[in-house]
This record gives sequence, C-alpha cells and structure tokens, in this order.
Amino acid sequence: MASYRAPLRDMRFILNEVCQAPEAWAAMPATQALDAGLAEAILEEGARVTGAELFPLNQSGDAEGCRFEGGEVRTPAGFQAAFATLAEGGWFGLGGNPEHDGQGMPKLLTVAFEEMLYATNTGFALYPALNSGATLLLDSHADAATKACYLPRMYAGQWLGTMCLTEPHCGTDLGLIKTRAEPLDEGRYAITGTKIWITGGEHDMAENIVHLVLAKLPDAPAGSRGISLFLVPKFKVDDQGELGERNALSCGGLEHKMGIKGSATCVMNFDGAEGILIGEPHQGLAAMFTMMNYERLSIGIQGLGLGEVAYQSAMDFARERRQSRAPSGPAEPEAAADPILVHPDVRRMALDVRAWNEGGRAFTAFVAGQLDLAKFHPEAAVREEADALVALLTPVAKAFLTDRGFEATVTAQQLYGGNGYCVEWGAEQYVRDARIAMIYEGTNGIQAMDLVGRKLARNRGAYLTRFAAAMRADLAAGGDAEIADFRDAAGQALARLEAVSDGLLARGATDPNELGAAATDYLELLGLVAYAWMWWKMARAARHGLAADGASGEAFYRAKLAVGRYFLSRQLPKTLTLEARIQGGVEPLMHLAEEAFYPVD
Amino acid sequence: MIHGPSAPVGRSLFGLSRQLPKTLTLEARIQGGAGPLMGLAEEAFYPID
Repeated sequence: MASYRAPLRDMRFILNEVCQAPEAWAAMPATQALDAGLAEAILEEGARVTGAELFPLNQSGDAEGCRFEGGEVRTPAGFQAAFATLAEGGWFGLGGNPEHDGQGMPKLLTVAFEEMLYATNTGFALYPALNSGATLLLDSHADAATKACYLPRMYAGQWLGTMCLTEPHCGTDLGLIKTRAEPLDEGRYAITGTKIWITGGEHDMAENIVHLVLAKLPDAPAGSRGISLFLVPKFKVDDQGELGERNALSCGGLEHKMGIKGSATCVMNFDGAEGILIGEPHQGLAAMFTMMNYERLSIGIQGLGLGEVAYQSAMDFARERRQSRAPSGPAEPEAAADPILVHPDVRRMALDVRAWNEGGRAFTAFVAGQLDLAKFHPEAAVREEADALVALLTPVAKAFLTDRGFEATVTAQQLYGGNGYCVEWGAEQYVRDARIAMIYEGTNGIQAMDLVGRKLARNRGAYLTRFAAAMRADLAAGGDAEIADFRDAAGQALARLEAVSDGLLARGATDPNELGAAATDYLELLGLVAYAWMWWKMARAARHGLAADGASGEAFYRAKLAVGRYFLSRQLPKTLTLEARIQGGVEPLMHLAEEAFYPVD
Repeated sequence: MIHGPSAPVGRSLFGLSRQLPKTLTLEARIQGGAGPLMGLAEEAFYPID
C-alpha cells in the first residue's frame, strides 16, 4: 500500500551538512533569527502535520475528486478540515513577509515542507502553492494598503489566492489574451473575460478567493507589452477588510483531468467584476516574473515529492514481495523464494528512483539557497551572482525535476509488476499526478526554449560561465582521494557541457533554429551536470561525516556514497547521448517537409 | 506510408542523428558492470525516517 514518512534524515543532511544552512542563515540579517533548532522543529512538525492530515486523504481525494454543484465547487471529503488545521498552524505563511504576519522562513527551509506537501497529497498541495505565488506577487507589487489588507489574511489561509493567466485560445503566448479591464471610478476596474485552468478558482475551503488576473486596458499596446495585472476578489472587500457583496465572477465548470483530482481546476468567467490594478499599467507580465522563479521551483518539487512517495511505497512492496532466486544462489534458502531486491534489474529500478530523488533534493536546496541569497544577502555582489545562477537554473529546476519525477513514478510503478497497474496500491496515482507537472507552469519544452534563448544565447553564455566557474571552484575545494571518482566525473561532464555550449552558441548565431533544435537535450545535459555537482557535494559531506562521526550515521553516509556511484555509473553517461544529439544540429529536425508530417491514409 | 521524396530520407536522418546515439549511454552503462547495482545493502533500500 502507499507508504510515506518525510525523509527527515536526508533533509537534515542536505540542510546542515551539505548546505551548512545555519551558517548561511546567520550571515543574513533577515534570517538570523532562524537556527538549527528552530529549523528542526519546523521540519518535524511539518512531517507530522502532512503525514497525519494530508496523506490519509490522498487516495480518497483522488477517487472522489472535486464536484461542481450549482456553480459551487466541493472539495473531497476531509479537505476542509485538513485545510483548517494547516491554516491554524500558520503553514500557509511559512515563507511570508513578517511585516504582514508571515513567518519569514527562507526558501532553503520551506522547500522541504513543500516536498512533504506534494508527497503526501499533490491535489491538496496546489491550493497553498498557488497562494504562495499570489502573496509573493502582491508583496512585491501591490501598494501598502492592499498588502496590509490582503497579505495577513492570505498567509492565514482565511483568503486564498489564484493566478488567472490562460484563456481558451492562448496559454504560452499571453500577448494574445482577450480579457479586458475598463476603468471605473476610484481606481477600480471592471474585468471581463474567460480564464481557464485556474487552480483553486472556486472551492469551499476559504472564506474569500483572491484572483490575480491578467487583462488588457483599453489603451494597451498589442502583444505581451500590453498586459496589466489586477486583483479581483470573489467577495468585494471594504477599506477595513470586511467582506461585502459577491463580485461579478463565477466558476463555469471543472476540468476533468488525468490526475490531481483533488485540485479544483476551474473555468472562471469574469463579467465586469470589480478589481484593482496591481503595479503599473501594461507591466503585468513583468510583475508575474517576480514570482515565476519561485513557482517554477515549486512545480519542480512536485516531481521530487511524488518521486519520493513513489519510491517509499515501492520499497514497502519490495520488502514483502518474494519471487524466484538470486542469480548467485538462494539468498534465503529456508523461504520459498528470495526478496525481489536480490535481482539486479529490480535494484536498477529502485536505484534509478532513489538517485533521482536524492540528487533532486540536493539540487532543489541549492536553487532555494540561491533564491535566498538573491533576496536577503546584504552584499550586492553576492545577490547579483545568485540572481544569475537562479536565472540559469530555474528552467532546469522546473523541467528536469518534473521529467525525472515522472520517470521516477513510472519506474516505481514498474517495480510492482501487475500490482502497480491496480488502483489499490497507489502507484498509478503518482504517475497520473506527476504527469501534469511536465505540462503546466510553462511546458518543459518552453522551459528548454527559455534556457537556450534567454538564459544562454541572449547573454552569450555569461550565466553559464558563472555556473561553470562556481562548480569548478567547488570541485577543487576539499574532498579526498576516496571520492576522486565523483570529482573526475563531474569535471568531465562540465567540460562536455562547456564544449557543447560553445558549439551551440556559434551555430545559433547564424541559425536560430539551432537553439530550438537543441533546447530539450541541452536542458537535460545541464540538469545532469548540475546533479553531478550536487553528488560531489553530497559525497564530500558524506566523507566528512564518516571521518567526524557525523549526525546522520555511518550507514547513511555509506548508502549515500553507494547511491552516488550509481548515479555516476548509470545516469550521468546519458551526457554522451545528449552531446551527440545536440551536435547533430538542426538538420535532422527540419529536413522533413511539413506536409510529410501528416498521415495521408 | 511514403509522404513524398524527402520523407524516407528525413526519417532516416532523424533516426540516425537523434535516436541511435542512445547506444552511447547504453554502452557506458553496461560497461559499468554490476557493482553499482549491488553495492547497496538490502536494508539500506528501505526508508528509515
């Protein structure tokens, strides 16, 4: 059956021994109040509350789904009570601005809680995930009065935020949106249009829903430069924050989806609904980008969380399952058959998932740490360096983590044999819930285009140069001969990435299609190199832990090194294939005439 | 089904350039041997937290 305990030991290892988080927090005034003890308490309580409140609702919420009744949306049984418990515990404001009653915790810590949310109940997790993005956006761009009114209530889960971007005819290309905003009096606007795929657009868990809506003003320039951002509440709000009459907006229905069935994915109709402008006119898309790095990392963590729960559940199955004998002779002759983990191919599946998860957890923490440096560090040069790494690695975090997350859930499902295809084991739900993460928040193809276009070619590889310098310096720092294989493999992979990048930039300068042709492979190549760096960091920390009798324990450190060597031997070699594909250039993709793509019989 | 004179060539080109290179990964994995799969003790596979 489905099984999950938050991987606290690995989370502690990454926080304290790989990232030296307490030292990093002490160096920044905004995070100085956080020490290892408080972080530990938050991790433990986060594990307890998600395990007790959300995990028991995961399969039932999937089976029941959300219901649309008379214009209202009913979430699955138990969601309301769980939501109230988490709201009461202050979990929805964990990373919020303390000036407005948020708890001000750094991203390096909150990503661990996000992983627990997604692992225990992805359908539920998406409500607070969207709320986090909405509050981040308001905190950055709303005026003081709006922040004072909305943020405390949204951090408390009293009101919950949504992001309304997509319309029936456009998603990726938001410059095409048709939703319009007509000025009224006193700074108000009437918003009219239809938005689709709105997570939490309507539900029964909060007393108000705060929609952040992209729309165009009457004088808007064409295209993406003409988009403005509006706050449009379900119930109108007066100057004292009291709720008034229902606004002119409604849910038109729910999407019937492959997975995340506990998440209400709504069609939202705005019929002259009153809203207020957030930020400057025509700057809505730019405002959105302030939360995009956080949201994209969050969706990456969806892949990680689902990969972890898929692994743990599969290991729960493997612990009991006995089939055939070990190739080298019976491992347990007294039993009718050996445990399936004696079989190398079963180990291959388990180790693939395990290595992706542990590499992904370290990578998530690394990117989160850079987000914290970019936001909180007192030195401008440090903030700027971190900003560059975040810009480069955000599309990788979103796409590589979700690709690996889906792969992890499918591989874990395979480990069950036929049982993995049956609902009661829970494995097939993780596959369905992971699939969407590769699609929304900008498809993984769009992430790859962002990487090779904006983050690589536009600045002629400047971000990559910084990444390579930081990685190379770290590979030269510490470690001993016992883990030289980690350093060598990571160094070789980095050199391969740099050579591929140079060639791609040269070809892309004369033919823009070269960039698009290489994009997805290039993102995967950069992801593998980044994971190789993370495995170096983990190997170095494990060796240090072994020498210093570290807190994680000898067995943990030895397992970490073994899993790391699996990554080096079985996963990192894909860089060879990716290099060959990229160097093959654009011709193999563009040679076929368009009409030859379409079936003729 | 043939979709015009360029179609077979285009498909072959794609296959050779984008799909066949997977052999590079597979070769490296296979040459890595059994050690990376068998190095982890069975009990270390099971979650402990």
